[in-house]
Amino acid sequence: MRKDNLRKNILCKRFLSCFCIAAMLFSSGCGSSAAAADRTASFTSQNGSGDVLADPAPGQAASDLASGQVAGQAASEQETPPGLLEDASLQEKEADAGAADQTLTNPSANENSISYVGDLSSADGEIDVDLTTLSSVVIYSVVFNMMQKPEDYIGKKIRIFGNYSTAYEEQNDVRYHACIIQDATQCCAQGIEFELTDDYVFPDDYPEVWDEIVVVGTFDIYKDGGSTYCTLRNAHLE
Amino acid sequence: MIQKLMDAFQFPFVRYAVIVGVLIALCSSLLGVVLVLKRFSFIGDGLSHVAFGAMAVASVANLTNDMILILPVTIISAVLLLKGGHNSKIKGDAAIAMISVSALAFGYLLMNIFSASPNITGDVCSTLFGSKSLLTLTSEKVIICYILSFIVLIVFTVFYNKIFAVTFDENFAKASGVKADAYNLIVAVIIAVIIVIAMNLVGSLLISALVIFPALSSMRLFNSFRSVTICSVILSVVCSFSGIIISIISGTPVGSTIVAVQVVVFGICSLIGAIKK
Repeated sequence: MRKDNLRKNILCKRFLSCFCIAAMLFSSGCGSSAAAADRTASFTSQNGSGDVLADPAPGQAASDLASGQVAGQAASEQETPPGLLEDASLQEKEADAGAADQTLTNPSANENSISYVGDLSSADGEIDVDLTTLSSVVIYSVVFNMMQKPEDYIGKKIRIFGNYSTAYEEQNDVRYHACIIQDATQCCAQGIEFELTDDYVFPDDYPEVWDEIVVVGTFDIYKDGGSTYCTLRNAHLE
Repeated sequence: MIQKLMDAFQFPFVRYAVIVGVLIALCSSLLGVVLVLKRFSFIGDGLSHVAFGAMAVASVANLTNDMILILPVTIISAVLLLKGGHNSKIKGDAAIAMISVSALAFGYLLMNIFSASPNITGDVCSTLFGSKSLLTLTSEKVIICYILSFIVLIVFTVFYNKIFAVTFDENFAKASGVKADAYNLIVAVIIAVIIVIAMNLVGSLLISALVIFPALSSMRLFNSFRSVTICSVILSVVCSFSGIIISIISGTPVGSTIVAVQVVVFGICSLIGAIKK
């Protein structure tokens, strides 16, 4: 009888402990949808306000997003980011093709196959995501997250700090520009392609490869040849 | 510094990373006491290498969710290592070493021969040292970590007394009618689960630190199993949280920073223990 009571007592205590642990875990956000919470992933650096990324950019058709392609392309954290081609291996081509690049400096000029998703008319002057105030580990993670879930950042103004890289695609006669961010151990890199405004002329107004740059642009994705890529449009260098 | 931290915490994946990191540290510290007392401290290292090998196979096979392969393989290896220790021809530490290096070598070999990624070195480095894995967890992995941590906590809480008995004197526990083999199996499975999810926090090479240091630090301060376990949990959670925060602020690799904090705490606990004596 006493053993039964003791056993019941122990079981009750165990049950209470489990219930407390479960309550703690669920109150920490375990039960909430991670995907839904990820939509509030931005902030303004100037006023320190809370999340401002509440709604996607107007005109965005979520069904247009080839999320599988973008997610698939960025599935591996080490994968070459969409829209970013090799840099060092193409530096020789860059030197040879310098004169030919004057007319086509960014992929938006290749209007036949490119279709952007975001609507830049609604983007205001304030920076929505300022990565220059963060450490390298977090910057890398944010950019990785951008590649994983680009729909959360479309139309938002991004300021990013990294190293400049460029690559030239002969087939379409297009030059791509990117800002590369390396992680803490310097063994992995993420990058975001950017398209400077027409005020910039390659190569005079562009930095040298691997120069440190601060780029401000509006995040968008575009489709080219059936694949989806991420880019910062209407960008300028600070 | 505070502003940098606040800016980072605005991102939900950073918040999730901190929560997952704390949960992983909590789970690993619980089993750490059991492993240290059973003199199986290095099994974390061995199983993490097995998990690395399984991850390599999963990436070569282009599996969408590599947990499908990593978890069962690691669990089977844990069961073989822990249950076969007494009567096997190859004893504990030799078996761990054999399986560990074999899995590591074959894993790296497969990743090089059948490379599915443009940056193998980065993949390997990230998996071995956990430089940024925690902050780049996908939503699915976060949910899996939550569920597995919850299961580990429940199992340890429910079977606490039996695990205690099996840890200290397995033969006496068997003689008392406790199904020691079954509880050894449970411990093996839990260890494997913790190793798999802890790889996201500190990487394969540093998992042993996550398991061992909190237990050893606590043993410098307390003598009873319950006190050591509770202290181990507190130390592990504090070290993990501090390590993640320091990593976010200073931009250092997450795994290494956590282990560095644990080493410092171990030194402090040793000093306090020496003074107490």
